[in-house]
Order: sequence, then structure tokens, then C-alpha cells
Amino acid sequence: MSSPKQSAKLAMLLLVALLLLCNSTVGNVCCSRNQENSVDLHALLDFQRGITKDPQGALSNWSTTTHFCRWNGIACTTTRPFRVEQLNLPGLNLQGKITSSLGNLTFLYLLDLSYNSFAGTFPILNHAQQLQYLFVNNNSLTGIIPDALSNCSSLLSMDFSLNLLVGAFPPKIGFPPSLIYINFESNQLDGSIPNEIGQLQNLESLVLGDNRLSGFRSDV
Amino acid sequence: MPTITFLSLYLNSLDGSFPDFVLKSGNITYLDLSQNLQSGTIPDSLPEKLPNLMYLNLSTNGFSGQIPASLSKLRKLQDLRIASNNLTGGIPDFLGSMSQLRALELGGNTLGGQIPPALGRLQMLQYLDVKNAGLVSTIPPQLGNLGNLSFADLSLNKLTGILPPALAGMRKMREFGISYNLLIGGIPHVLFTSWPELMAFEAQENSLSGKIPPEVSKATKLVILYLFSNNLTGFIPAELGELVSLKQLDLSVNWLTGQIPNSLGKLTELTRLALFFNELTGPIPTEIGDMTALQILDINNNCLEGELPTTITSLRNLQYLSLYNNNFSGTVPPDLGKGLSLIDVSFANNSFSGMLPQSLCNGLALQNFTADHNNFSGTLPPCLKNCVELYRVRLEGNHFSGDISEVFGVHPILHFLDVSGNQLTGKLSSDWSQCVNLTYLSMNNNHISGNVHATFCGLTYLQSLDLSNNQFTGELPGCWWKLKALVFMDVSNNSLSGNFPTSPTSLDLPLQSLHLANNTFAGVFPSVIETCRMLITLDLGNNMFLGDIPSWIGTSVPLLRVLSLPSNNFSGTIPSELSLLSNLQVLDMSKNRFTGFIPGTLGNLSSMKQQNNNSRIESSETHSRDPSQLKLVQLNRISTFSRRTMPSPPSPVDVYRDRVNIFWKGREQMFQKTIELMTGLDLSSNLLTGDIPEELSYLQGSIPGRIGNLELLEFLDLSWNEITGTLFFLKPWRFSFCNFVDHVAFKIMQ
Repeated sequence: MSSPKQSAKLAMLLLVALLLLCNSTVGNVCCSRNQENSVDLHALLDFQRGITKDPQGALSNWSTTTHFCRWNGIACTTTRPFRVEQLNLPGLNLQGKITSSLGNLTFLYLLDLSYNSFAGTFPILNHAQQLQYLFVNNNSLTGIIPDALSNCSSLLSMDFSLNLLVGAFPPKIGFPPSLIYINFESNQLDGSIPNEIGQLQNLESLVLGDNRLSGFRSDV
Repeated sequence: MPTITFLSLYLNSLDGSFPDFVLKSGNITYLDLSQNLQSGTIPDSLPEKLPNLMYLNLSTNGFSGQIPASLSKLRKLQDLRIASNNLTGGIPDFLGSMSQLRALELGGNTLGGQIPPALGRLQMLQYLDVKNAGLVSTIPPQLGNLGNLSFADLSLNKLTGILPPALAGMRKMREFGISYNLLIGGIPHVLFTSWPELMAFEAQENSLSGKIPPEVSKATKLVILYLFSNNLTGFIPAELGELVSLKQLDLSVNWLTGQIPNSLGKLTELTRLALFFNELTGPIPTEIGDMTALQILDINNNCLEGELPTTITSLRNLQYLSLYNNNFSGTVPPDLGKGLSLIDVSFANNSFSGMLPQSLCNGLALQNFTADHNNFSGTLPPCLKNCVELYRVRLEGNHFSGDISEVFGVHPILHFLDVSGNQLTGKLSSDWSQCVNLTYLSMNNNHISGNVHATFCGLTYLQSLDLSNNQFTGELPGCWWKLKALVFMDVSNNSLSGNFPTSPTSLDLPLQSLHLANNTFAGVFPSVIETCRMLITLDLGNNMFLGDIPSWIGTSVPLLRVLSLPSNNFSGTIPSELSLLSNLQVLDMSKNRFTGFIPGTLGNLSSMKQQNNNSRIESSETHSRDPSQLKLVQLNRISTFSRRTMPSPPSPVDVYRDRVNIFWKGREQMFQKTIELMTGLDLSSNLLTGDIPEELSYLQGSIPGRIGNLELLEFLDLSWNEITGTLFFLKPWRFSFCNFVDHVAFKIMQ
């Protein structure tokens, strides 16, 4: 028969073993939900690969040795499964492109990459149905206004101001009807403003100053 | 867009009339269509369609017509901005009933009319802009009721009358502008005691009179005070020194007297002090050294005197120092320029003496530098050689010495340089060829020697060149007429020799005045003259030119007024074509080897016969003209009017100084600028024979148009020839000198 001391020791050992097992590499413990976890993980790793310069080392703790919910700029849901809710990386002089993998962050509701130097076109975010706030203003994004934002069916507020977007509004802009705030100020947009904008039932603010727009489609 | 409340489309290319799409968005509270290309009228229906408007900005478009009266229905409108359009019809009264208005921006339209006193009812108004709106009005004292107004710009209108003291009621006033109007009367002191928040007060370019109120010191937050270009009198109040936040103080172009108060030394934030064109006296106070932020000290055109205080060298930020046209004396502090980047320095027209500070241009930033008309001596600062930003330099009329090629190097922007009247030595280096923007170059009256290089020919913009009274030797380079912009050229009084360069083309040259006198130029009459259709003065005197006077002289230089050829070896006959020169006033062919007869056609020289209306400065007392009135005339250089925080544009090139040395009435004199008043004919000391032509023989009074009456002839010298005959003089006759030594008889007839 073991003494109380010995039982305690065994319990301790078992506890330590369990803790060790639980704190090992991400996804291996609590492993029954690693599918969803790895989707967010891969999306973020893909995003990290799209960044060519990080002068302030903002993503220096973005490594697989820690859980992505602890990565700089990431905020996750508070209950399991831990999904990325916010990606907040404003004003860090980041360069590179924004990858479409961010569209796989299906729980993402806030994406703020403003005041950086992201270039290239803004990607189609295929599954970002939860996205409510999209701030990519004050970057160097080029190309035309993305026309596949219709997938972002929860989008309330989008700010693309102070970029290098060109061209006209796409014929079918596909802006989600949830939109309250649209800001494309200080780009190089031309052509006319589509009437569909008038059909957005919740739109309160339309900020299009400092472009080359010639008017509203119905007026032109 | 039924739900939209905020719509911003400023700075786009919206054109056509007011967008219909917007009129269909009835919930809009904020609408910004400014800076587009909209036209047409502001729709009358606007208030009905957009009743919730709180902010309406249509500025900087092409909207025309009147401000619609229906706007008064916008009961929520706080910001109405319709500036910079083509609106007309005056400032409507109804605006005064829109009591919720906080900002009203109407400037930049041709509204015309008066400022409605009703605007005084806008109790909430903070911002009022009616600048440049063609208003013809007095300032209604009712505006003093605008107790919340903090910004008011009424400038650039035709506002008349006084500045009403009642405006003191604008207790929140921060920025007040009434400049460029026709306001008279005094600046009410009560404004400064009642506006504690005042930061900017701009009243320039009016006709305000009286003194600067000492109460100005009560506006303790003042940053900008502009009272320039008015009729202000009295002293600069010492109380100004209490405005310790002041950054810009401009009291220039007034009638201020008294001294610069020492208390200004307390203005440690002041970057620009402009007091020029006043009647200030006394010295620059030593306290000026405490104005550590000072960048611009612009005090030219006063009666300031004394020495520059050495404290001026501690102004670490000084860039512009303009002291010209004062009575300053003494030596400039020798450390001036150390640790500084002086851009614009003018000491001109003072009584400075001693040496220029050798560190003056240490910052190598100097662009405009004038020290002319002082008593400076010694060498010029060597750093000038490396000042590549130099565009204008005037050093004439001093006693500067030293080698000129140690002072000037490559100055690609330099366009005006005058170092005349000094004691500079040395030779011209090839660096001058890179001063490609030179238009005016005067080095006359120095001790410069050596050749005039071929590299000089690259100065294709040069209009005025004066190298006279130096020790230049050698020939002028064959490429000389690449200087195709030359209007004035004087190389007289040197030791230049050889043939005068010909022009490779027959293209017209703009040359108006050519002075080659007192050199050893040789060869025939310069052929280049044939392409100088604009030539007015030609002085080839005292050289070794030979050969004929070409007959094209009569037709190729129709504007010629002075033809001075004395003391050469010209020969042949006097061409009768000379008589075609209808503007010729002085003809001096003396001391040559001309033969043959005096052409009778010389009697046709019309400008010696009768008034040429557009070329003479004539006074009514010509008949009693006293020769002593024909004095040497100095040009009066008009000082450039410096109003700048940026470098002023290059000053206009001085009027070309036309002058000629002639043996005038028995004495050699130089005439400058009075060319128009002279007439003379000197054919003395030649080998002429024959009779004095009858056409020259009758010198009469005031019968115009008669052939043979050179009535305006002022002197006539036919001496030292072999001519005979009789000259008849009829009174009254204009000229007073006649030299017919020995060989010609004359009679005076009543």
C-alpha cells in the first residue's frame, strides 16, 4: 500500500505529464478541433509570407512555437474553438501584399491594415462572411475597386482612402447591402458613380472626395 | 440615395449642373461638392429637396446666378460655403435671418453691392469670408454684434469709410483681415483692448491714418500684425515689445518717424521685421541681437543711421538683411555671416566704410548682394566665388580692391553684375563663360587687364556690357557677335586693338549704343554696323580706323542720333547720305582726313532743324538756354521695392546709359541722358575745301520748315579746314558757340 506522500507524488507526476502534453506544439493537444485551428493558422502563415518587409518586427512573434491567438495583432474568440476575430496591424510600415488567405478567417470581424505600405491589388475574400470593419486606408494598393466584396455579407464599414486605386467602379459593384460607411477618398478613381450605390439600404456615409469622378451614372 | 446623410465628392471632375442624383437624396445633412466643374445656378429647389442640410459646400465651382432666396428655408444649415464661383447679385439680406449659421463663406464671387447690416444678427457666426467679392460698401457697425465671430476676412474689396470702433463687440475675434480696401481714418485702439484672443490683424493696403495705437499690446496673443502700405504716422510704439508671441511684424510703406524701439528685442519669436519705406531715424538698437528667431530684417529706405551693432551677428537664423537707402556708417561687424546662411544682403546707398565681412557669404547661399554706393574698401569676400546661387550683385561706387578672378567664379544664375568704379585688378578668367544667364555686366572704371576671351562669346543673353576705363588689351574675339542680344556696349578707354569683329550673318542685331573710343582699333568702318538697325549712338573716336564712311550709313542706321568719329584716319568725302539720318543730332567727324566739299545736303539734317516730338525733353525756356545747365547727369536708380519673404524677382535692368564724350564748345565733356538736348556739328581739323554750303549758311530763328535752317543747331565747328564763305546769323539763335578759328568769317545780322 502506498503512503500519502507517494500518492501525492504520483498525482503530481501525472499532472505534470498531462500539462506537458497539453502545452506541447499547437494543435497536437486538444486535438479534436485542430482542423479549424489549422485553417486560421495556415491563413495567417500565408499572410505572413506575403509580407516582404517588417521594419518594426511587428510579426516577429508570429511563429509556430506559440499559438496564433498570442501573435501580435491577433485577437481570438474567447471560447473554443479559438478563431481569429480581429487582425489589427495599423501603422507598422509593413510592405508586401495582402493575401487572399485572409478570406479563410471565417470568424474575422475586424481587419485593420491601415497606415502601412501594402501594395498590389486587394484580394477577393471568399469566405469572410463575418467581416464588419475593413480598414486598408493609407497604403499603396493599386488596381480597381474589388468587385467581389459581396461575399462579405456583414460588412458595415470599409475604408480604402489614400491608396492608388484607379479606374471606374465595376459595372456590378456588388457592395453588400449591409454597408453603412464607404470611403474611397484620395484615390484615382474615374468614371461615374453607379446608381446601385443608391440602392444600399443602410448606407449613411459616402466619402469619395479627391478622385476623378465625373458624376453619377444617371446624371451623366 | 434615400438613406445617405454624409456625401463627400469634393475635388473630382463633376461637371454640368447640380447633380440630380443628389437632389433625390433627401436625408443628406453633409454635402460637399466643392472643387469640381459644376455650372448653372444653385437650384431653387435645393432647400425643399434637402431640408436637413447642416453643411453645404459648393465652393470652387462655376455656379452662376444669384444666391437663391429659398436657402433661407434651410433652418438647420450651419455651414454655407459657396466661395469661388461666378455668383452675382450681392450678399442677400435674408442671410441675416439664418440665425443658426456658424460659417459663411462667400468670397471669390463678383457679388458686388454692400455688406448688409442684417448680417450682424448672426449670433452663432464664427467664420465669415467675403474676400474678393467686388463689394462696394462701408463696414456696418452692426457687425460688432457678432459676438462669436473668430474669423473675418473682408479683404480685397472696395470697402470705404472708417473701421468702426463698434467692431470691438466681436470679442472672440482671432483672425481679422480688412486688407486691400479703401479704408480711411484711424485704427481704433478699442479693438485691441476688446479682442483678447486676437492672433492675426491684417489691415495692409488701405489709407488708414493716425498713429499705431500703443494699446495694441493688450492683444497679447498677436502672432501676425500687418499694417503696411497705409498713411500711418507717429512713432512705432514701444509697447509692441510686449507682444511676445509676434512672429511677423510689417509696418512698411507708411510715414512712421522716430526710432526703432529697443523693446522690440523682446520679440524672441519674431521671424520677419519689415519697416522699410518709412522715415525712421536713429540707429538699429543693440537689442536686435535678442531677436533670435529673426530671419528677415527689411528696413531699407529710411533715415536710419549709426553703426550696425555687433549683436547683429548673433542672429543665428538671419537670411535676409536689407539696409539700403539709409545713412548707416562705420564698418559692418566683421563676424557677420559666420554660422549663417545669408541669402539676400543689401548695404547699398549708405556711408559704410572699411572692409566687408570676409565671412559674409560663408553659408554659400547668397543670391542677391548689393553694397553699391558706399565707401567700402579692401578685398571682397572670397566665398563669393563659390556662391552658385548668386543672381544679382551690385558693388559699384566703392573702393574695392583685389583680383577679380578671386572673387567671381562660375555663377550659372547670375544675371546682373555691376562692379564698376572700384580698384579691382586681375584678368577675366574663363569661368565667365559659364555665367550664361548674364544680361547686364559692368566692370568699367577698374584696373582689370588682359584679354577679353573668346569664351565671353557664350553669354548669348548679354544686353549691356561695359568694360570701359580698364586696361584690357588684345583683340576682341572673332566670335564676338554671338552676343546677339547686346544693346549697349562700351569698351572705350582701354588698349584694345585689331580689327573690330564682323558679324558672320546678316541678321539684325539689337545694338543701340556702341562705344569704342580711346583704343587702338584699326581697319575700316565696322561692317557690323550695317546690321544694327536700332543703333542710336556710335562713338569710334580716338582709334586708328581708316577708309571711307560707307554710304549705307544713311539708310542702315535710321535711328542714329550721335555719330562720333573724331581722331581717326578716316578719309574720302563726307557722304551726302548722312543727310538721310533724320534723327542725327551730333555729328563729330573732326580730326580725320576727310577731303572734298561739305555736302549741302547736310542742311537737311532735320533733327537739327526742327523739333522731333518724340525724342526731345524740351523746356519752355529754350531760347535762354545757358550752357552751364547742360550738366553731367547721374541716373537716378529707383530702389527695388522689397516686399518679400521669398527672394524678389530680379530688378529691371537699368535704362541704358547713353553717353558720349565730345569736344563740346571748346571743352571735352561727357554727356549722359541729355543727349536729347544737344545738337552739334563738328567737321573741324579735316582737309575739307570749298564753300560753306548755302544751306548751312542761314542760321535763323523760329521759322520752321525752311530749307537750310538748322535752327536747333547748338554748335558748329568748321575750324581747321580750308573752307571759305560767310555765315549769316539771325537772332534769336539757340546755340551759343561757334568756332571758326582763323579761316571763316561770320556776320551777325539783325
